[in-house]
Amino acid sequence: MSLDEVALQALNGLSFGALLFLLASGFTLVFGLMQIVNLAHGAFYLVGGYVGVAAFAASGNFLAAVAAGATAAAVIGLASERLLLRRVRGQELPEVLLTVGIALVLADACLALFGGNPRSIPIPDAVAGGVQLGAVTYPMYRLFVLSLAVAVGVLLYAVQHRTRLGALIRAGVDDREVAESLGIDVPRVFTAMFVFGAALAGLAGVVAAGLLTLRPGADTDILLFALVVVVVGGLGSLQGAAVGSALIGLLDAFSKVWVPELSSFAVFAPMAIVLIFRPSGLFGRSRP
Amino acid sequence: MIPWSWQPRRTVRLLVVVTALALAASACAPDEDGGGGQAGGSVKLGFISPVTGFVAALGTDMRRGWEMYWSQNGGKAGDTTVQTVFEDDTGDPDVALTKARRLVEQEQVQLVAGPILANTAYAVAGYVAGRGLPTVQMTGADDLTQRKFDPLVLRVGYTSSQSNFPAGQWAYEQGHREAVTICPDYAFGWESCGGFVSAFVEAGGKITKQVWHPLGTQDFSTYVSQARQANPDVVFVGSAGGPDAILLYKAWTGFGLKDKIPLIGNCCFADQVFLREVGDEALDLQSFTYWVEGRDSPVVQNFVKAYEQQHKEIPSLYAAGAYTMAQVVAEALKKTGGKIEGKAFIDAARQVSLSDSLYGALTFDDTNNVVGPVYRTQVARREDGTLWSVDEQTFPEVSQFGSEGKEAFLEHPVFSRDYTGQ
Repeated sequence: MSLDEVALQALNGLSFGALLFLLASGFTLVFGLMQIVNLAHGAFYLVGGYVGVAAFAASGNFLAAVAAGATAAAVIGLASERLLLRRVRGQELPEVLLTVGIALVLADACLALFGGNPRSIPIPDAVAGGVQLGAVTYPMYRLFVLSLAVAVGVLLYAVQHRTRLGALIRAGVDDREVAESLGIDVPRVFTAMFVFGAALAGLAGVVAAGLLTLRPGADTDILLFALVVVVVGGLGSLQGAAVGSALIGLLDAFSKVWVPELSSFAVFAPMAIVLIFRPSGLFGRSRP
Repeated sequence: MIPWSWQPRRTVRLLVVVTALALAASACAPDEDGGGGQAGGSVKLGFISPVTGFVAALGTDMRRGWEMYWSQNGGKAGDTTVQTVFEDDTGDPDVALTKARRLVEQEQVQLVAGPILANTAYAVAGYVAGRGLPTVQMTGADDLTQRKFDPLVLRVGYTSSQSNFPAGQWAYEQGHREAVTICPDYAFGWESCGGFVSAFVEAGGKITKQVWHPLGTQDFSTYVSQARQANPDVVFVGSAGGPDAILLYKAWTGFGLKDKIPLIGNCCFADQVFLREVGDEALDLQSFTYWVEGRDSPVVQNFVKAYEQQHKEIPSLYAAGAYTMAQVVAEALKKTGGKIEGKAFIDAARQVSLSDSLYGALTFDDTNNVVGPVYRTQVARREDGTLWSVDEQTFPEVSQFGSEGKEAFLEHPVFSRDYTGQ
């Protein structure tokens, strides 16, 4: 395998990892704050993507599609949190089961509304076409997704560590009771975080509609990858999601080249190994 | 938590009552229908296709094609009134088997048609034939009419490898000497590739790389990069269609390979689902298939027109396939005078010969599989701007055994990842 080929496959892996990061970051932040393993996160991604496809068909504008997709996912996230999840707050099993229920209902609603055929969004002209990298033409859209993920990651990190909102969130994560006793409206912070996580998932859905396709079952497929990313990186850790996404993306790419028979194994084996030696993930903190 | 303990029980009780009522209702249903006493009698058929789940789109199209045939023919085959009971297998073999059982035992259907995925079709065909009832299939799984031939099973369709024999032969005749194949890593992909590879190698070509990707691959960039690296004269894609086909082709064009390496597809690669999503990038793409929506034949164009009027889209291979299945069943019913009696019915169906079906001129071989034309197609623009495929070349009377003949062909193992006819 030549150096060119290695570089090319590394880019392939990193750009797929970038998409996973867009999804996994919201997932992990919601868990970090609220201790909810939100299995409806994949469905938010699917809803956001489909709404983005519809918005693109209506407007022909990619940015409008992104805005519509993220908003739709945020609204559904808000409704799920306010009307449903809030009722079972703190009861682990009902919470998880409820998110599974939401996921199933949303997935079926998508099938009813958008049909079973795969859907996608044409890549906007500004980031269409290829970039010449040495002897190879590389799709510009993949580089766009990669830069978008880096931008979102930096932004999230800055908000978490440099702003008052970030401080509120970190306080809520570290010690809910003390934060509440200091007058922080923790439930409201929870809702905001949950809605934001859903919006990120919706955004990922629209971006993915240009790279992959949306179809029945795409939600669980991608959620599985996101779960692996978060488990490897550490539940609740943003850095963990970043490292985990890159790692899983690269493993996925290179295993498909070197050991195609074992490509699924190569992605899931690290998860098993991490779970055995560091049950809280590479960057996760063990909780009392 | 305590209220939870009795609520489910109440729900269960309610479910039991509802189920009992539903069963009673369905048990009554045949009496109402059977009491009609039409002159030509009536038959009851079961039709299974996945209308929910990950292949919901295929199953929905199948049901539409089947329904369209019967509604165009007044629900009759000759004097015989035909009633169909529909079931949804969700693409899952366990569910498919349960639904087949229900159709046979409760609905007492006389024949079962469908489903589509190979694993579900094997489960259903095995069970239905085991009960001594005839079944018609349109799945591609080679062995259904080869090494696992059953006289009660008729395939109104092509095996997965069948339509790709001409592809391998044609690619060599075009001067291509080294080829790369990209196929999904399961039976359908192995068999599709097997058709191309065995014919290409027999003609004198060489396969330099075979890329196998898991069904439902999200990101094709790594696979496309590998195919590019091998720098072949031609790439053959044996796709099951749907998202995989679209994603693969998007990656292919994204890497700027469209004008660099010729790419040819199988039956199911550049179908309508694909064309709707891929758009103009697909123009001029060549495939080897048997359902060609742009074929200049009144049979095809009338079907496309009627289907488009009703469903607002150009019919897919699955709609056309189920329509043709219904047509063959109807022709066989006319031959038997409306009787469906196990092997005798399938024997009658095998004698059906259609001078121009949706696929073209069809006959059946002695192991119950179609012998029919394969077309080399090209994606073109219809008058109204819609993309569709038109036929460029016809390979008549292609058999499931390729150019080898039955005996020689059946001596090989069935195509697999390890054996694609090289």
